[in-house]
Amino acid sequence: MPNEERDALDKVLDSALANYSSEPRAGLEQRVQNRIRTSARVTRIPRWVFAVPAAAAVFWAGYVWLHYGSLPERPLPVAQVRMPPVRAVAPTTARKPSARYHRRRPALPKLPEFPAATPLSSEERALLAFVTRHPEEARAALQQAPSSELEPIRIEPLQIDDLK
Amino acid sequence: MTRREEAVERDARFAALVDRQARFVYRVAYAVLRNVFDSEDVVQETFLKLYRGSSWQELADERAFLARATWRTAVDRLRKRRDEPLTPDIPARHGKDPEDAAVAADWNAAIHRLVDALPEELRQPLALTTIEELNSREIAVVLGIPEGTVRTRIMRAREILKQKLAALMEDRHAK
Repeated sequence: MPNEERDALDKVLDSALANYSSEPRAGLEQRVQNRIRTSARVTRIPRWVFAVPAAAAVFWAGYVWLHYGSLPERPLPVAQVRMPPVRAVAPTTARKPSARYHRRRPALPKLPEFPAATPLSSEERALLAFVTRHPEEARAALQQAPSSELEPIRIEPLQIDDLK
Repeated sequence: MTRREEAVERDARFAALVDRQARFVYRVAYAVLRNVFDSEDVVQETFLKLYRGSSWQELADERAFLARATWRTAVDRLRKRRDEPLTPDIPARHGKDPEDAAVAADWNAAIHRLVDALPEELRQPLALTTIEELNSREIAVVLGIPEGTVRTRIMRAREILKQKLAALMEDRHAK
């Protein structure tokens, strides 16, 4: 590339590069300052706002550790359960069966004489005929019959011989 | 002096710093990002970070410090938007003659596209040279590389651009 041409290219290049940069829009400084002011308002919260609760938490943790952390182990507490006194329970009356239950129960056949009379045996029939025909003799025979009273059993005292 | 008075004085000094350097900071951001809105966001972010700290009150080289801080913020933003295509806002510059201005604008736009197409390691030092206030020593501080490396990269970038520009001119003359 000849020197003249090189110089010409340098000039064109310099001219173009001079415009490569750009100027900001008007009011840039003001916009930057506004942004900083807005941000500063948010960040200007005093540090003690956070420091006070943090210090309180540290203090409380230290207090708990000093008072409870270094003591010997305490015996485990045993639960004491208080039982209420036993109260007498009043007897409750049985509930009457409801009428409904009665209605459902099947009705039993009723006998004219209860318990039903059993038929007489042959000895009883013979005795009855004898008493009907000969009442005087039957009365006398009853009076002569031995007393039905039983005498008490008499047990002789036990006698045990001496051992030789 | 009470704390409140100290805070007011601090704010006043910072406002003066913003007034003094906001445009310079913007140009540094724009050299990296090539977008008006992103560059302004970076300016605000840079000053906000600075305000929250206290290092700005004792700066040996105010401009170098600001340029470095801005460059870092802008490069971070550039990495985040890497997926998006670079859409430079080409500023409209009008000469006295509308026809000349149109031709010049056309050439400028073409050269700007060539610059944007350079690798970042070459484009950024070159872009920073377009900011009048920055010399190669300051650019070295901003980029965190030796001054000699800055000069080498700028020369390489210019060589590439001149070759591409020559090819472009030949094409246009041929047509």
